[in-house]
Amino acid sequence: MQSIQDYLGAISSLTPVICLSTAILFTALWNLFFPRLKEITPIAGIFALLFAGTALWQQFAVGSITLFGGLYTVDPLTVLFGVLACGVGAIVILMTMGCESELGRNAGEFYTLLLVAVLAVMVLAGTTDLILLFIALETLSISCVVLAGFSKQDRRSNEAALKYLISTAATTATLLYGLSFLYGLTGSTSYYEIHNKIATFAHAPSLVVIFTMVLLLSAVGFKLSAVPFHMWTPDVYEGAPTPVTAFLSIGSKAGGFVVAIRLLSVVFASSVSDWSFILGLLAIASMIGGNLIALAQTSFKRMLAYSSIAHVGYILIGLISNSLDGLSAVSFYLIVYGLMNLGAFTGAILFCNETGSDRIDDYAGLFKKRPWLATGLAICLINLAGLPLPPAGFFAKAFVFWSGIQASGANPLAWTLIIVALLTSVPAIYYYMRVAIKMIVKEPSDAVKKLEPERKRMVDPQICPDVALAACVAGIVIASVMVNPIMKLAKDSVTPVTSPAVGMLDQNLN
Amino acid sequence: MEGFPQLTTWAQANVEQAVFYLLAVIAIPLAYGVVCDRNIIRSGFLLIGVFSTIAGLFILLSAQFLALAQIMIYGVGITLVVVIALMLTNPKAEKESMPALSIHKGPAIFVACFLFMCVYLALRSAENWPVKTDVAALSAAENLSRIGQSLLTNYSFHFEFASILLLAALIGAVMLAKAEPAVHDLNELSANEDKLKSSERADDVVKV
Amino acid sequence: MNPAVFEIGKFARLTVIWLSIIFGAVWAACWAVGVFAPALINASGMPTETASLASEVLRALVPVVAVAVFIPINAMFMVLCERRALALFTVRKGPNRVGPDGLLQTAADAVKLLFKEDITPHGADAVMFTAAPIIFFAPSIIGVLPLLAAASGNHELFRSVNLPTGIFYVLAIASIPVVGIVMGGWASNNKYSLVGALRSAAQAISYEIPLVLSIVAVCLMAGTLDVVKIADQQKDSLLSWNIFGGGALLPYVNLVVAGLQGNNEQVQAIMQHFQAQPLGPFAAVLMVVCCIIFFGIYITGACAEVNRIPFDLPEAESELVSGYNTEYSGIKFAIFFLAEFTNLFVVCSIASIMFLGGGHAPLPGLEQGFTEMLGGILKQLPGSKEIFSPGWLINSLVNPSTVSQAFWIILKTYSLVIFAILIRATLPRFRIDQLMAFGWKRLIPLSLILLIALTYLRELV
Repeated sequence: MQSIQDYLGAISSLTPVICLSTAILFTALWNLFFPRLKEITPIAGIFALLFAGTALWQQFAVGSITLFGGLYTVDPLTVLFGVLACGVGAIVILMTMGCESELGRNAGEFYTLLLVAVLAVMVLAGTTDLILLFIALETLSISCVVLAGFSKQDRRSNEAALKYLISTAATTATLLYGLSFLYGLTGSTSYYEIHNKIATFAHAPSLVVIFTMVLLLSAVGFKLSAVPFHMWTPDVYEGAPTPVTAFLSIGSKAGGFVVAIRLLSVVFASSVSDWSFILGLLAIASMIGGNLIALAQTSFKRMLAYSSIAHVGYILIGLISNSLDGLSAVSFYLIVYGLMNLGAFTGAILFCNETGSDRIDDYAGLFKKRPWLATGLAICLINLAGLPLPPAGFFAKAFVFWSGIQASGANPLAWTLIIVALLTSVPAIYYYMRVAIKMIVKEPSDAVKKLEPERKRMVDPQICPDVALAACVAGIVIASVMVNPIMKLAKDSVTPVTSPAVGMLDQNLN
Repeated sequence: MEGFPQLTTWAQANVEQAVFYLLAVIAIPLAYGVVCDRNIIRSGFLLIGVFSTIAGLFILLSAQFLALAQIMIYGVGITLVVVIALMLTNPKAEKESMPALSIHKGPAIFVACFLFMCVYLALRSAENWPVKTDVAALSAAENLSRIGQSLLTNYSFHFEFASILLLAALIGAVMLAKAEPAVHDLNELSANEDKLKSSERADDVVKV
Repeated sequence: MNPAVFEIGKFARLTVIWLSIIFGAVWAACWAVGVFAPALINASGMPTETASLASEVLRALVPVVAVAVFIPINAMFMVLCERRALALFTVRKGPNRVGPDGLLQTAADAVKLLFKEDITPHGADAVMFTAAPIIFFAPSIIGVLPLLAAASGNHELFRSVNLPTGIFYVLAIASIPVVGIVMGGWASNNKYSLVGALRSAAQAISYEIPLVLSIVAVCLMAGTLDVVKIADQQKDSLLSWNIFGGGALLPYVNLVVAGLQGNNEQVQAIMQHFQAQPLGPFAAVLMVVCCIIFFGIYITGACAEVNRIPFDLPEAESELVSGYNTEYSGIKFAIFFLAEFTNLFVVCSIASIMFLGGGHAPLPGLEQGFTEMLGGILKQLPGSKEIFSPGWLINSLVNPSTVSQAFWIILKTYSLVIFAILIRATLPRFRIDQLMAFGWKRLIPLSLILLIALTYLRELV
């Protein structure tokens, strides 16, 4: 950072961040001063997210720029995950507008905190600095804790917030401990400089590097809720308000993944074999644990929670392969998984709004009363199961597995991973399809029987979750049709962080 | 200690290390006390002690500003609020409802020893911990201005983003702690919403 | 003679006598430790290295000695001063029996307190009960050290305590006593103590923010945290004091002066300078207003920090018996008492250094004239460099510029102390919710807005 021009240039590259910050202030204050016009708050939030997403999107073509002396990077990876976060945020806001009554008088604050969380993910995507990494992770955690406890009258929501808070505090401590080691080893907080310093160490990475890596991976694993750091997931997912669960399941996970991608492929690029082994163990545990426990669930949200653990296992396969194909498969999977998971949660909200139930058995026969809802939800579930109907979910899984197979030469665990992934996909198909088949084939359950033949449109915002579901289904269809362009996008986005390009970035620095 | 050349050299030779060990000897029992004291409020006060000794370590590292910030923000500001929050709980009632310490001592000691061994081996395995010499050579005033400069240039984004973190925490804390009518009263409330003056809302926030 | 004038005269006499005692004692102690003892060591024929190390140690100890001598005597004086001043303001007599005209009243009280039984109440946490007064008192000793350097005009004996983090150090240390209050209040096992302690903590944390912001404003204008530099920047005259915008008005006053003197060239030169900044005069006046308001904010926050009326809720005797120190007696109570008055003195001296020009005289030339006059007198004396001769004694004892600076800072600080006593005699106590609302909803936004305004105005002047 030499001159004021650099500084102004950096600020103009941060337009999306500034835009979201403005929206945060706006949503925080609007309901206080104009309580009668509170309907404007979420709409303003959506517009801010769309604007920020667009502004971010325009930076896709720019290539990699490092700001603030290498402490923040705007590259296609930042853009892709930032736009993903914005999209997730917009859909979650739409979902929330449908169940605003749960939030009591604090709806404005809900949108504020949601925007803060989206902003945190956006910054996490761009950070190449340990301090900023910590601040952004902490922002994400704190806003998610408060969001999880937003239904103050609901004891389960309180429990969720408390559990999330305590476990996140523990992992924050681990993360900071690891970061302090990293700083002590290298004397720098910038990823690139740390990468260079660690590369100069002896070829076999010393014990302290592995130790640091384990500490950092445990913190990232917590955000990803990979087994064995998953303990908080089911209770928090079940207790938190459903839109928050939807955000946690994809928004905060996308943040975790982008941190993992940057940390592992930039900072720890020289000790690939170590971290891929550790992550491989995590992935196997996640796939087995998540899928098997999800089988036994009777609550729809809880089932989705455990299945999200399993999905993390699948995505980790792509990360472990540590190649261009692998990382782009991760990005693709996250996009598609985001769409279908959000769709499933929107379906859960729509169902819950009318019946007040969350039990899987109650979904039976929904097709007879609400054909469109049942169809949309079924499409999302079928894709989550990885069946080719439409094939987005199938492609996502296929890409990840393929990248795993390609990496089998370098990684001793690769074949085990693939076999476990294929085997555990079977129960996954069973428990997803069980819900879908129940909805379409079975006779209506008591809860569904009680439904009015035509849905009463109470107030206008009730239509918003419908829009969200439609958007998700449309997104899935588009992703199925346009696999190639999206895959190319994903490839472009991860190119800067795959190994040969990292060296190029170093030269850009000073 | 400008103006005292001989005293400074003598202190650097004899006192610095002694002060380090003194601080360590104070800090470790205090930290142990924070974890093990049965009285949670006393642990809170011991935590203030721990933070103060850490501030002492910062001074030994010639990071005067950081040490003072540590005292002002962590030692007094934050921990004191934590202690006050603890005072609002009722430890006696908690004690009755909770069974005695559920963690067994044996495994706890084993895990602690194992972790200590891990950390120790990891620390010993690194051959060359880089020690920056140029920073120590800076005088305290230069140190201060360097902190200021980096906060406003390279680290300005961090600095600003931290304010968003604090804003979120503040809003969240107010939201969670605010007294609120139960959900079923809300319908009545929203009927009366028109009568609700905005000034009353502001009052709600502050009474928390 | 009007009896009121008579009483004021008696009060002034008391003040002068006590202040001479305090500062005479401090002066003598500093001289003995910092000048006389090293000279003795050097003359004693010890090996040079040991001797110079020993004298350096002694000289390094001077600030500590000064504070240690100063605090107890000063607290005794301030208690007496407060009681007499309150009596004056409420038309009563005040303590007037012990010693000549009540001069020794607080000395007697102090002796009484020391001999009282030291009680630890049943159920109290004995360790923390004992530690609380110490934690409350210790910061006032170590916190004032950098101020000594500024107050003595950067005298060589006090130069070592002039930290680069100066005022930040003072503020950080000054925030510690509240820990002692909370600790003492909780350890007493008494609900009044506890409520007093909680009030104190809430109040201290809330009012610390505007207080620090007002200091930040001063540091912003000065461009440094170093108290000596901040004091030196205000040395010209009243107009360069930070309370009057730190010299923002000076060019305009110069213009008026030059115009009155008919010095056209100078007027032209200054006018040309103004053409670049057409908004200058307006901004300068606004800046002065900002600074005066900041001074008010500082005084308000400082009163709350040290629990003075109207912010003495922690020990509101009509509600809480005596607040956090209800259960204390004997020496521990005396320490609490001592520290409270020392803290009042400390915040007043911070105000006089940061806002009121430190040890510098309000009118230009006053300080220089005094220094030259005193220097002239000293030169008349038999000048002898020989150690322990009368000339050496006087020269090492009296440093003209330090005398002048000490005089002005004592005057300013004790004026502020008496102003605080006047406030105590005048204003009623806040209610706790009013106090919090005033702090968070008025003072903090006001100081933030002013800080931003000041940042921009500074560029315009």
